[in-house]
Amino acid sequence: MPGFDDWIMVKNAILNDEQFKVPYRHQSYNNIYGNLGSDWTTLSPVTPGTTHVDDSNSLAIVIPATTPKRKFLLRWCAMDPSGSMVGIVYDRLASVSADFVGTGTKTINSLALPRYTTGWGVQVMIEQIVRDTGTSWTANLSSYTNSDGSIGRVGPSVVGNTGQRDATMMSLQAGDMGVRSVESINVTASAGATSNVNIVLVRPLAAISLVRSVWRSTDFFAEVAAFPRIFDGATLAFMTYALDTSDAGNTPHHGSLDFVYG
Amino acid sequence: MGFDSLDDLIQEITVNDKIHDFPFFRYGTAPEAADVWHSYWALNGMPGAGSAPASTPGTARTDAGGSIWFPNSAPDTKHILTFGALATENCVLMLYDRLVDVGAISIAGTGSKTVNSVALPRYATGLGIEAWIEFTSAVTAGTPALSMSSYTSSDGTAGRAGTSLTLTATPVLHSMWKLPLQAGDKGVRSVENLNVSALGTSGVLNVVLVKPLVYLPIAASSWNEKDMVNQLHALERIYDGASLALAQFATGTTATNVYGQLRVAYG
Repeated sequence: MPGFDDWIMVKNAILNDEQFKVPYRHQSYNNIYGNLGSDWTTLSPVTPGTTHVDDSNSLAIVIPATTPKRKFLLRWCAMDPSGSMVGIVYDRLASVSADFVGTGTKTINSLALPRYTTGWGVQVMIEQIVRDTGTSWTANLSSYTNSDGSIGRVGPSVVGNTGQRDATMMSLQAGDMGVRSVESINVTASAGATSNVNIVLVRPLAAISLVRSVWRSTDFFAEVAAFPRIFDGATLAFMTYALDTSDAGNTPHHGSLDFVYG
Repeated sequence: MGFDSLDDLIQEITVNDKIHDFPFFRYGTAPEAADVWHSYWALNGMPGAGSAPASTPGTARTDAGGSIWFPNSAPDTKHILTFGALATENCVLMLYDRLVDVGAISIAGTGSKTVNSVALPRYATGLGIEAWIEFTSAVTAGTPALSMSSYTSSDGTAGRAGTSLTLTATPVLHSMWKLPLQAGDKGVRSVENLNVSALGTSGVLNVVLVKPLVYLPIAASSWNEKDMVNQLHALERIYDGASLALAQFATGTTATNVYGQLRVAYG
């Protein structure tokens, strides 16, 4: 059976080198202190966008398929030499670009999710690829399909974080536990001359808190019993949250994500 | 039922997929003050906001919309593995099972308010169950004082009376207070009456019966995560039907957003 029957199997998998150690160096984008940031750098195609399967754009981390064996995140080690931050690693599932200049309904019609197909626990993140030159936009999910398969769901309004590479999580209709697809977004306030965003369906997996110039690691097996599963095709990218204003601008964080399979 | 060993837990998670891993976030509103609790129940995020409870006798919450809830697993039992979160301000985050809430209780007038809460859907004796008030409409002037003038304790004793609690002046929307019990009591099975001894101008609240599960202290803009297997060996149980919700112990008046992850395994 794929997976691990006991901790000795985990240990043996490591000893047998059934693991991937993926060193990385990424930019942390937090132009405005107190906002989520995204490290993704490029605009996705317009509606219906794209799905992300082993997509190594923007330095996203991809790992070879291991089916029938299963992969799990074992350890995350990292450091930010120029600021303190929280890093969140997520599986990037699908995305669609949209122009947020001007109010009104933007057609999204995102593609079917390649993983986490019900949408349970899947969040909608808007990442600002081209900064909004005006005041922050206000928008809501005006039609989406929730993780129960109910269509035409409507989320409440959210005011966006609109610096370059800022990220904004979109709220859901009362009671919903995730998003299967996004059909449209309604921009109710927009003042910028430019404002290009990706609407991204994401599945957060794990987080780590980094203090400036201090090497940190989290063991997701023995220290924090999370052991998040990584599906074949996963496209692992980062969102970040700056602790202080020294993180304003584009600062690197680097480290290693270690996976084990069995 | 449950886990025979750490190996059994590993197998249930990695072989049998008996795990629920839920990322959540909530956008906060301005708390009342430092050292006052603030509810995320009716605020936006994921899961979407929770609904207002019915007026007396209220609503027993089972897999409630707006809560974090998981499919039934009986005869397997569910247990928390990890609870982690980032908050934008210093705070303590409480994860609790929201059992019963009774809405639309106006405190714009002194005297006894009928609550008569419905029976608890879980933790039926009431041992360890706390009674809170949660404002759904702010008090615009005055400093309310109130008490549970009649409740049933976890021993099944009716007519118990808690001591009076004086709130801060003009409690804001979503602010929360835990109601004191009569000396010696260890929990609340139901609340029959609330007595308002000093009133504010306006003010509407819910009475909420909760089972606290995890407290998570968070330094502003950093991630903290509690492991319930290796660090604390708590493996707090989550019952079928549980309606998990969040509240924040504030350290100031700045609206606080939270982003987090809750993992539950069953076996």
